[in-house]
Amino acid sequence: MKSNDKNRRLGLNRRNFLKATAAIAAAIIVSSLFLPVQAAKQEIRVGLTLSYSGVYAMVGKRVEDGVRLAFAQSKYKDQVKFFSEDTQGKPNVAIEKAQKLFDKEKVHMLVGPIAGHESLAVSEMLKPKKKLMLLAYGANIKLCGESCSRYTFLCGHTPWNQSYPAADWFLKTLGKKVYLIGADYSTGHEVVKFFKEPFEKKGGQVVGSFFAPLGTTEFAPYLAKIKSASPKPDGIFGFLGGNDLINFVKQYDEFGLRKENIPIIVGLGGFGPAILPSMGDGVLGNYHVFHYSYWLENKENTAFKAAFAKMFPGELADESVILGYEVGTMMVKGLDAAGGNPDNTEKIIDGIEKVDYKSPRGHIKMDPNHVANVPIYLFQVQQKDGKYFLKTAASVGNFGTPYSGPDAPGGECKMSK
Amino acid sequence: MDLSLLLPNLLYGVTIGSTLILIASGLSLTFGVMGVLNFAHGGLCMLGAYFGYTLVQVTGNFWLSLIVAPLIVAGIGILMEAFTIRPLYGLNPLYQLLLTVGLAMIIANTVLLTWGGDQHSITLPPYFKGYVHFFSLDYPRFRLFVLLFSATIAGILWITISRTKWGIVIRAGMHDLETVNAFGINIFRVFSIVFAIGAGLAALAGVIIGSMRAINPEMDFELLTSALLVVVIGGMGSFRGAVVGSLLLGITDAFGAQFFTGVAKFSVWFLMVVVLLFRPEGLFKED
Repeated sequence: MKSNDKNRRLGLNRRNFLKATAAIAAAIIVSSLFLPVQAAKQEIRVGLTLSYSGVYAMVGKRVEDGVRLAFAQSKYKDQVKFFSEDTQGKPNVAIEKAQKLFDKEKVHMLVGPIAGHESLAVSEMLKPKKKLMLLAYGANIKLCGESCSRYTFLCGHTPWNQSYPAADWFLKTLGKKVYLIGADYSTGHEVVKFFKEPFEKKGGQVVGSFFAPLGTTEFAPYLAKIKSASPKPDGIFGFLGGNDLINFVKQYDEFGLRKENIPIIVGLGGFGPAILPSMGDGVLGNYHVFHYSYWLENKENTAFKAAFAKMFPGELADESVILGYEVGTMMVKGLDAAGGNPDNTEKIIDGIEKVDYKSPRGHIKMDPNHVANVPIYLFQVQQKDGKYFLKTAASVGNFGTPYSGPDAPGGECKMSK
Repeated sequence: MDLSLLLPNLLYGVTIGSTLILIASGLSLTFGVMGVLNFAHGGLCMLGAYFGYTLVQVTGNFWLSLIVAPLIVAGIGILMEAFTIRPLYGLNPLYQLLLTVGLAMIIANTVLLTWGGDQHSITLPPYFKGYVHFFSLDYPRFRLFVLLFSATIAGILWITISRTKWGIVIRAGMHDLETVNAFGINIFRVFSIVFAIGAGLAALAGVIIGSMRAINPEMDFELLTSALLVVVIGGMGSFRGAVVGSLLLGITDAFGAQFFTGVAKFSVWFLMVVVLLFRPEGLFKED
């Protein structure tokens, strides 16, 4: 009885209920007549062949976060679907996974693998299939030159476009004498080589160099060499990664090289926000040459950091995230150019070739060899309120990677449709 | 070839070697007395580094962490020995092997869960920065401290083993456990103490190493490899072997980096091959 009373008070008897239902149904039918027909939007299928295990595990996850953020900010946010595969850092696995994503999952485009030997292998495989891949990392120097492909874009940075401007900056700012160091594998050698060539050509002198095996924990013998180098170097340039760099910086401080005013300049980044706190005071005053810093001051970066913090609370918007974000942004711009049709790969490519925009990194363009032309900065480690941060010491301009002529680091790029 | 670097490199080698003594002697002792090759030894060393790091972060006192971190890890060692290793004495050594490898994994993953995957390092007090000048040579202060400190600890250990009553028990235990037991000495207590000392020394080395290098969840394996190399070169179960092996390894490492930069890492393995070719049981047989 009680419930009947309640229904009556609300006017919810059978007649009213039927009236209301009819009215709602009519409203839906009428409104659908006047609104543009919303065809079921086509799904945009994006594949990711990244490393989700091993040394690059965190990098893989962060790149994916960046791609997701870029799509979440676009008009395709409800259409996009992601398919992730772990390449384990192995070229054969990367090829297999990329093939699977295109053949079985029917993805429209791919975020390519992280290691340079993987990306080259996958690019060669995709070329005859005319399938599109965008790379956050995987900047194999050959992809900038002789192995360039219409279907591959390098959206991040290359060892060349950071080492080359660093040489100029070193000569102008620090002096003419350098000590070169490198991790003893391809990246270490490339970073050093692309610095050394222009440095010597412009009158610089290399007073000594060494390549230390990956995983070196004791740099004492190497630091002794630097200390006894004659003439005394004006700075140390080179590339060491992860733990090796921490060990080197700590022991460099212990050996008093910081007090002797011989700064370290790391090519290809190194002093990221995740690693800085563990370096100790030895890191203060040293530089790295890079395309991005978390602390870069521009309105795009501020907005990017805020949006990332909202979507992924508690995570760090580091250089891996920004590279993923760049890849995602370019995918969105390519889709825009193709009228939102993910099947039109050729139109998407034409669109990405023409990108020219402001990203949190600064002004980004795409060069004809499909390598991003990006701003390069020299960042110096400084301290504020007891915390380390990177201060922009110099903005050295925009750099792509040469692809023609005898000086092209990766050979001549002949792009064919 | 730069001869002026010979002396500093010799000193660096000895310093690296002296921290290795702390790790390897524990590994060697537990093998000698208990017959257990502890694959979790690198993990105990890593635990020392992490506890040391946290203690310095919380208290800001390096000396406190140098004392407390090894005590904590020694405590963990006692529990490990009593509850996991003890039930397996007298069984097939394969069980102990599997057990300690498992313990190493548990430690590594616990560290990863507790401290995360990022690298850390222990901040040294300011008076350890800079260097000491002697014999026309600049030597970093902290390294000099490490050298003297480790040498002192190794010296105390040596005297304990060779001159004290406990040392006699330990040495006797290496030869004939049953007789020791028959003399009315509780061998389980001996095992406990030996294991605790080994764990504590490893943790001590961990704090020192964590002040010179990056602390990360993968460091346990690298430390274990070095310690195993020392034990194989020096002779399984021999304290003297651990000392000599550590110094040899440290010096080879330093000179390898100076003279054969490209293949520096290979030099220590080459040393092992040479030693094993001529003395398959290592440089020293059981003491």
